[in-house]
Amino acid sequence: MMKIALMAGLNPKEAEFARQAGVRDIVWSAGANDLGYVTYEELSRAQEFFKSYGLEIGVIENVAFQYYDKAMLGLPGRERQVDNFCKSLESLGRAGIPVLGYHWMALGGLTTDYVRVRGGALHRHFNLADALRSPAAAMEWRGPYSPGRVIHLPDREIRTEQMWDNLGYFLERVLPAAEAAHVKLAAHPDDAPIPMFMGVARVLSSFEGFKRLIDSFPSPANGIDFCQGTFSEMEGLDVLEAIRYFGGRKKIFFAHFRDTCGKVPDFSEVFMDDGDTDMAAAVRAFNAVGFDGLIRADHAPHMPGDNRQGHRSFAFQLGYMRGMFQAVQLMAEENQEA
Amino acid sequence: MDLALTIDGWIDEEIIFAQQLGARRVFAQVNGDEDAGALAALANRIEKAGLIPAGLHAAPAAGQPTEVVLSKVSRLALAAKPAGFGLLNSPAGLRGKALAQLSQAAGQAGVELVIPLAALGLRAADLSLDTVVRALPSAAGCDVPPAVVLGWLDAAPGKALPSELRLVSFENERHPAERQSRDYDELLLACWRLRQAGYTGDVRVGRPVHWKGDSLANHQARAYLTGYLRGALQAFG
Repeated sequence: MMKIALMAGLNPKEAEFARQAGVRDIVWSAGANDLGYVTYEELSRAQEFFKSYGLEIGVIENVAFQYYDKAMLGLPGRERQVDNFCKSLESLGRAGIPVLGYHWMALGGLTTDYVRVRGGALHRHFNLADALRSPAAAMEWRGPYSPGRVIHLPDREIRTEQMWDNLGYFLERVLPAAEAAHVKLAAHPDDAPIPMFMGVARVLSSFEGFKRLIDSFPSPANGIDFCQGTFSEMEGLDVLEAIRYFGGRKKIFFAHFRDTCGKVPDFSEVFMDDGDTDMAAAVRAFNAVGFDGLIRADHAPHMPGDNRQGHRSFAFQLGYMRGMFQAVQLMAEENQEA
Repeated sequence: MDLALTIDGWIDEEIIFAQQLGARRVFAQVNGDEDAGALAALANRIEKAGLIPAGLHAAPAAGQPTEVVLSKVSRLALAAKPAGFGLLNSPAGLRGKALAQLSQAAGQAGVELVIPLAALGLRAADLSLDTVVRALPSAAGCDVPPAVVLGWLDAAPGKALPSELRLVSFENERHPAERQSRDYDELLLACWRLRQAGYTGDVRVGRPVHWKGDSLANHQARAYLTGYLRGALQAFG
């Protein structure tokens, strides 16, 4: 059965919250250092910290963007970044952390605004026309929650096949290192899942894109961070079919649990119980394909009155996930007995 | 079967909190000092927020004499229905003769009185839904924890739920940190069995175990419990 996880930082408040919410599995994101790769020492220190709360790191989600941005853009210097990425994989392997999540969004995530819905909670919203009108604003991914984020507007176009070449260059070199380190690479879909933005291709923005990723690089270490929220944003995509397709091929290494209303070109993130997806059916689909990895509560609407970490919102989400997962399991077991 | 949340309806943050959690049905916690006008205003606040006033949860201040509590809660009973509250959850401290008097007052006022388990003074060894129902004053309903419901449903599968079962409340539950991922505790099983039995009352999120770092009003803990029940109920369909 898949395990509910939570992303947490190295601070007692977040670790204590995770522990109290009954979470045991942590998703951690290492920050940037001067070396350009994640070190075993960084991971080891983080593991010790979480262990002191009875928690365990199961996934490293993302290395610093600047560790592999040249690889994404196909720029000089990418060789060194790819070598460093392999070092990150060695570190994870040495630390016994089995999954590294990554993305291939050269321009980062896209959001156009935040809208208020039930109880004044703030939902992330994306509208393609608005993004095209104000591209720099759309690249401020987390809006007021990412102070100091510097937006790099592209100075060149990167067409689709060039971006696939860049990704191919990267994967051909890092996948053998991942295999050797016994680490799985889990690719997150491009959010918002649109194929092109400001002349820069976003190749992991569709079912076909992920199918090509999996088919073109048949390594056991090559797989998907199935962000259910982003997949549900994809125009014309049936999330349940996508879970069955990729999960049935054992290519879902890690997942995010989230829901949205609408799809590209206009969608909003919502509370898990309030979106377009039949979440219980999604849980059944994950179970049916035998996914038993980590599934984390993804970013949630911000509830006014909540603390900066969003613990009320995450508490609701974690409770929702636990209740739903256990309910689905209970019903399945009773059906089997019958 | 619906999910309901107990809130202090006079506090804006509580109403907003219920909205944020998608808990449309709310029990308004009152201390018994409210008159008819205040209750009507309370119902108005709740309804204007798009919520449904499921009932009143009487919680008079501790340490008051029984006759004072009875007087206050009887006044609530008289004022509840005209104000828009069809159900009154009586306090655990009113028992025996006082409870019978309250039941009479509620009956005359046409408001449904729902009595918590603690008010019935039953011994643990005698605890079952049948004994709870037998211990109720006439015309009153009961508010019981999930364990009582489960015991009854497991002992008599297929038997119709007693009509006196009006509320199932989850209070002072074990901390989520104590739950394992496959631990079907009483909350989940009770919801499932109630769904199968055709229960049409409310399952109420009351006062959970306090979480370290949480607000005094236990927002995180209540959010978790509400989310848990919401997830379970959506899965059950």
